[in-house]
Amino acid sequence: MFKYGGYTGNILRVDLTAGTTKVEKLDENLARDYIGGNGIAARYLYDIVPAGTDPLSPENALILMNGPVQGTRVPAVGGRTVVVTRSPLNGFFIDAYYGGHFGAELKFAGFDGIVVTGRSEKPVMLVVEDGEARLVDASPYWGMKTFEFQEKLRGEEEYHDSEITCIGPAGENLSPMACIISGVHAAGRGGVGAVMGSKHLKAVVAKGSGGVRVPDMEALEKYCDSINERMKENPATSKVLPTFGTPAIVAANNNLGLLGTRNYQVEVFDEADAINGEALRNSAFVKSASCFSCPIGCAKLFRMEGDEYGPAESVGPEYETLWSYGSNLANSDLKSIIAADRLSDELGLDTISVGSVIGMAIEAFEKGLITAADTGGIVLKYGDPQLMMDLIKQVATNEGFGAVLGAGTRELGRRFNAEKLAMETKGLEIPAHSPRGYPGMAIGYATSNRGGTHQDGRPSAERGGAVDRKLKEGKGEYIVGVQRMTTLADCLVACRFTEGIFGLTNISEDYVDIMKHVTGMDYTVEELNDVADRVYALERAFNAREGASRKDDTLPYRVLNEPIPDGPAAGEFMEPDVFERELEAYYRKRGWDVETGLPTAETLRRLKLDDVASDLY
Amino acid sequence: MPRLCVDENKCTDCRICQLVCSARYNGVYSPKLSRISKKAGIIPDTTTTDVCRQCSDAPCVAVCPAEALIQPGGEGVVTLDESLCTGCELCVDECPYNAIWFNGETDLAYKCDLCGGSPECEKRCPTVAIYVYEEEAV
Ligand code: SF4
Ligand code: SF4
Repeated sequence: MFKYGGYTGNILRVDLTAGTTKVEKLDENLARDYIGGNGIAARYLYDIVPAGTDPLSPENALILMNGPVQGTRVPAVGGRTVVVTRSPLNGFFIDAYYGGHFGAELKFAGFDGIVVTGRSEKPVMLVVEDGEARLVDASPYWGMKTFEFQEKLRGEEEYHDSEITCIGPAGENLSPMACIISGVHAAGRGGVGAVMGSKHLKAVVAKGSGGVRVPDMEALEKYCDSINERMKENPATSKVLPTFGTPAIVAANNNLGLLGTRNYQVEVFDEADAINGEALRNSAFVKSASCFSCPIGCAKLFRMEGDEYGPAESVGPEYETLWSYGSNLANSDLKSIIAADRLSDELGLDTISVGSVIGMAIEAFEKGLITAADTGGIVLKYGDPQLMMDLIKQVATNEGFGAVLGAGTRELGRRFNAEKLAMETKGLEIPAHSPRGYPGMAIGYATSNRGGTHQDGRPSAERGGAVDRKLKEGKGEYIVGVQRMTTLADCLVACRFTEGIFGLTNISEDYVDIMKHVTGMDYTVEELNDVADRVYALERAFNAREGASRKDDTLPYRVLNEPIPDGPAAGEFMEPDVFERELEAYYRKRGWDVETGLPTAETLRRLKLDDVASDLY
Repeated sequence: MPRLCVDENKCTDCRICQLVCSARYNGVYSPKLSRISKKAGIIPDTTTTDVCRQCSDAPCVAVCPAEALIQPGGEGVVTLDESLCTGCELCVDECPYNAIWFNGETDLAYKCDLCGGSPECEKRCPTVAIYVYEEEAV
């Protein structure tokens, strides 16, 4: 048995080229120093994927990881999984998370994680069950959309009680915007689905009859009860999320004048009432659903009659998608957004990046930078739901204009001399939390190792008023604390909606308690900060090997040069000199070199990353 | 007579009921070992739950050759006396609701006994989807 509670102690190594699988013991020190999820996966990726590896080559690794907490009742943490790889969208480190049940089932099947390398000649799926693994021919399923495939597989006696992680046509076609789908949940960002597609891996299927052992079940159960009580007292986790889910944020941001509209040209959407949480609740709500172990149940099944856009039934759209396929495209046709959400899940596409690049392409078209000669004759315009549906399908084919879009906003900018319209950092599209109105979040976007994600750094404290939203002074140092929290939560593969309970801006004692109760390991908050810093520095070192440095920690032209034109937040933006000042404060707080934006050798050694220090210096 | 009921419209498929059940009875988190079995579609518009209905004149009690399943007077909660259970699995096959299972490790059957009157699952279900229903005896 593994030394610490929560873990199975087993990592599965899969070589698809050779068609072999091997169970390897999880190193106890790795568990102690990197905890799990994001952390352990980052270490594997750094160690086995050399600099310059083509993300879609057999040499890239696709890593699926849970952590010690998956499979337990710790609220809102139990079922999640992380995918880590080198991104084919931007060439940097990517970690993409998904909810549902897979992370727990993988644990019950006997594994803390799966590391896949190589490329199978034929389409295959990896089946893991009670400590064993096998590769099964998936040729009959290649080409299938994600729901159709999962339902078909679940219909087979052998797999009826399994949890499935898979790709759809977009991943098979190697679209850099392809995501990975499990149930109705998506590991959305950075093109992780294309990496899976490049390996000819249609699915990973888990089923297990095992259980998770912890040092003191009674103590952990009591602790879980106390978290549940705190969740009941918190309006976000007890009322807003259970009733509306994330669509509640549409009205909140629009009222602040911070709802990106028409590719962030403006930040008030006049028709926001048609696509907000109330509208969805009143006209489309069917049922709530939860991830494994979660009492919140933020997932909402929405359905609307009429299928002029295809089936308008989906778990979602989430807030991000109401922005990306709604306000960002000036589209207030709710039914089309539900249908587009469903279509994207079925094709296996990241709704954030796809909606962002479509929004940018329309602006570029209106400005004459892209013409009908470039689009195959299509006229691009805002507020056209049918156009949106067509373009989503095109992106999934990864051909023609669809491939041009799927290559991302950075590439689109280069190709059409439209760099100033690209809403991305490090080549990953910025999501729905205004970088002009949330300065802390903006520094989070700039310094994220992934690029434009709201998961390294968070908008929540600024939006909710826990910190002064408009204040810029000190936000560089502030976001270090937030990123430590998000990184540690990612090592635990915890849902972000625990942030209102466990703390929005820093690593709290709760994480000490969770680690103690689940694993039996004693950490101090300082030691957990070190774990977070170690993992973040390692990701940064991965990117440094690919050429990243301070020049990549930047923000879109629009954010640094064009104030929000009108509405309640008119005039807000990130002044370049303020940005540089806060960025430097950020580096200093992290113990990174202000010139290069990289961890110093001294910092790396302090974090027990001596080998990384030798690689970089 | 009391038994567990599930309002599937309210159930979010969070599996907390299964987790608290196996935590209490097995000292481990394991849905497969819990006394509740759950399934949901890929699109989670429906969930289905298998759990003991504490049938009157329960067929599992009748089929048990070891008299390990006990239901005094043929009414109310069916309990299992583990010291008598021989692990023959006849009850598992007999249950019309698939609500008795077999633990390969202990060689014993397992089923819901309503936690002796204070069900853990009912207490913890966040949506009150699983609850004890008191049927009037006729
Ligand atoms: S705890 Fe309640 S909501 Fe959760 S799966 Fe069980 S019955 Fe459903
Ligand atoms: S009442 Fe107790 S034994 Fe029965 S299913 Fe619920 S937790 Fe398990």
